[in-house]
Amino acid sequence: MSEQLLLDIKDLEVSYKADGKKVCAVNGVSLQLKKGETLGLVGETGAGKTTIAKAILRILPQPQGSVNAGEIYVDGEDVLKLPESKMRKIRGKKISMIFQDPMTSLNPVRTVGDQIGEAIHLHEKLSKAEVEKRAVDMLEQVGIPGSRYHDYPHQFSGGMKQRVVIAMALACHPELLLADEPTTALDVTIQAQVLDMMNHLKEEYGTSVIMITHDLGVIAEMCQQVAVVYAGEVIEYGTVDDIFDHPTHPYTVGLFGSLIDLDEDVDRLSPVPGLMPDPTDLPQGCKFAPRCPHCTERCQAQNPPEVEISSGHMVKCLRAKDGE
Amino acid sequence: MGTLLEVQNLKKYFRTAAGDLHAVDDVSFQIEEGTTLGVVGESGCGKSTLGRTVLHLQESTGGKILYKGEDVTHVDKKKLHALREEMQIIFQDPYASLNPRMSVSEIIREPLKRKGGLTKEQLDAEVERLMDLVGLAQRFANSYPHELDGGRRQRIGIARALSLNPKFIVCDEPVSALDVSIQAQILNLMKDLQDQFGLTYIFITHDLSVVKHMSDAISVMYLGQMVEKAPAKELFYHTVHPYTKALLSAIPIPKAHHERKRILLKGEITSPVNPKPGCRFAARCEYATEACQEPQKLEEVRPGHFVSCCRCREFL
Amino acid sequence: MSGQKKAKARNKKESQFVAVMKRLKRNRFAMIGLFVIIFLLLVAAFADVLAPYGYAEQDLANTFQSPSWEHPCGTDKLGRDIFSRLIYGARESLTIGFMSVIFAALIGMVIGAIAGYYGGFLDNLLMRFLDIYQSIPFILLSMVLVSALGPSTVNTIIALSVSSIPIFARILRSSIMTCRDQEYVEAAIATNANDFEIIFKHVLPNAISPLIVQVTMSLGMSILAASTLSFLGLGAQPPSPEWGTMISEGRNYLRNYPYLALFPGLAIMIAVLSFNLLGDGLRDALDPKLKD
Repeated sequence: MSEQLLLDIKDLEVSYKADGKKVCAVNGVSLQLKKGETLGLVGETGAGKTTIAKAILRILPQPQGSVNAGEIYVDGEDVLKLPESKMRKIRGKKISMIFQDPMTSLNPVRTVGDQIGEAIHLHEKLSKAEVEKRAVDMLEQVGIPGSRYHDYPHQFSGGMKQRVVIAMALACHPELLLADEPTTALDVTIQAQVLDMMNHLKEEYGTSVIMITHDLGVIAEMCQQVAVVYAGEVIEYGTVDDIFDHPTHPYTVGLFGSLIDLDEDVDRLSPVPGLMPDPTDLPQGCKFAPRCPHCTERCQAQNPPEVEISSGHMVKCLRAKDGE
Repeated sequence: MGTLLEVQNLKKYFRTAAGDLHAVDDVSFQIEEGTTLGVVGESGCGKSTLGRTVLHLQESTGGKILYKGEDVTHVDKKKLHALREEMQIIFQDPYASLNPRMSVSEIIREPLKRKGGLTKEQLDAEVERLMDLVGLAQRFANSYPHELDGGRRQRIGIARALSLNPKFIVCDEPVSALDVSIQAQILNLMKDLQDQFGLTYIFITHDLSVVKHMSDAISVMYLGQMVEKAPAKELFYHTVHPYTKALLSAIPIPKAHHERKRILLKGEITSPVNPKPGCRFAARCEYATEACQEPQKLEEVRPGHFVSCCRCREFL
Repeated sequence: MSGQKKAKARNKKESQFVAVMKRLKRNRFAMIGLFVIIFLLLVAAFADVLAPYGYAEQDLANTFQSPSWEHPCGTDKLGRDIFSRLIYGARESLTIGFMSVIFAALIGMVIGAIAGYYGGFLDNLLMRFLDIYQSIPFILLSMVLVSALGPSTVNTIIALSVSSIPIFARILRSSIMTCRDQEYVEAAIATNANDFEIIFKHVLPNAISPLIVQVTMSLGMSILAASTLSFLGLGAQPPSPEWGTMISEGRNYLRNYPYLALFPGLAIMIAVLSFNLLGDGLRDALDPKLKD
């Protein structure tokens, strides 16, 4: 089993410095990803999802961001210990990332073909003609006619631009793709097209994916494993079935309570009350305690340990530990 | 309860370098008092323009707007001001819709002050009442918008809209910028306020699940035109128009092992500049025939269920 | 109830000015700039008290004195005390700087606000006019104007302000155009605000920051430009102790008595630098979205 492990994050802690305050963005996250698997990171704005991805690629904003503890093994190698020159070879080749906003990820003054070609050229020793052929190939893979190789980003619509970004990210057949809200900026019908295409490419290349999103619907559609992130911690982890059919952590339950069910009519939604804690001033003990309907004194005193409630289904909650 | 607002053949065109952009083209609907009409569609379908045109924030190019049975399409300034006290708007972006140089209480107080007739103490009390109403703690009265999170900011926007005691509110994607749990809090608040004050909403959104939760009736827009309208449940359980079907099937369902047939649309939305007379969806529609090049009419296929598609009878 | 009242009092809204100052205080360079400017202003205001000699007081027995305790910056060819002249010169230079920028900013603001808020034909007309205007280099235009009007302090002010109007008009126009389309302006219209309220309450306060920064920066530029004009003999006339005039007079003796030009040059540099530092600091401090 373990030889199939592509990514292994152990007790990752990341913080930012902002105006003299310490923002605790990621607080002890451990995650594992097998080859060919898709892991969904779901959580609200500011939960630390994007920071985890940036830490893997070592592209945290400098000098504000820093990894304080933990290890990130990619194929058994701790990327946090690699020299920058080696890291540069990994970025875009072994691991690549798609950002939320396709408008800002593309250089407006260069043709899309050039930009895809550059990613290939950087990592593979190919002749110019071969690079171009590969870039045209990639464009067609994402459903854009190769004849548009010489077009500029502004000549594409939002959905098309996101396809170009995906083509760029997949150009060197990365083993791990970090997709940060890749469809959030798109309309639903376009989102459906892009998700469909991603699923297809993922299977074709056997790429492992970390899908960062706040949309549980996208998770259900794309992922096998789900990690629910809250205030920089993974508070629940399991397969899609575990999380969607047996949500256990009160936050996960609340997240589902906030959703509108298209097949059922309810008059009122039952969201989690309150807000996420301020990351510069996290509560002691369980981070969710201030909003939790089942909060006890114990929860406020002690950060709950991870409990495996069924095979592979981990929950960070004292109640789960007591078997309730 | 009678009809509060009726819109007949409303048109709003924008001049662009390439020609007239038909942002809203021949849209008609009516809303009963105390109910919610959901307007759903993708970006560029003209749903926001529709809301703004109804509120006279943009002048209509053609058609009629009737409020309480009275034609208010073209009104003088005095009448407009009276009208605006009854019709308000809640914006999508809780960042852009609040003046960053004004504190929370100033923002809520401003419309009241403008209306006049209240002493300073009464104003203070009113602001306090409005803040309580939308669930904003009094300690935020002197905060500035940028110090607050999206959910609280949206509550300020709601309090401002309510300050003039309106009967009718256009909600322009009020929860799209918010996280799900905050979104649910705001939706609950808006429902409560509707029950409490008998408000009438036009709820504009691209999110079908939100519109289903909030609306009594739903209109689906595509490139400036209304392609289907029906009572909420009817629309979801007896979908007729191919575009609505595709839209519904495209929503990612947050359930494990949810098997269903997804209709993937070809191509992308274009912009309605100098559109051809036929069905605007035809280019992406798998059922398109030659008849679709002719102008389409809204047809009542079931009681209260209107569809603008020449082949709609076949899809029943 | 009383608890609530107390909480309110504690939370008393800090005025915009206090908030900006608080943010400005964190920028050390901007604070240095501000202190130097305040210092210069005080020097200018109390020149009569501070200066050991009059600015035109000649002492032909002590010409070309090197800096000493008696004359900290030496004396010039007529035995006038350079130090005293620098002090009086602050008054002259700062007056020209402030007056020309204030006039230019006011006129530019009106043009920019009209063009930006109403847009359309009016905007086009005003902007094309400014285009023509700006095709003439700033310093050249000032020189032409001063030459036409005749060299004097007042005419320098007029020339400098007329030449720098377009910068202010453009800056305000573009920032007003972005603010005009904001949703909060739409919200104000929806709650029956009139044009006056919209411009002065919602648009201007949010559009004015770049203008304030530009004004601060322009003050330095204006002092520099005034000195340039004086140096060329087109600005303030001798025996006026305007700093540029002093450099101009000192330039003939640069080889033997460099301090004649050095000290006024340093004064100009310090003044301009201070205004620029403050301007840079203000740019950051005036943005309400930057976190405290």
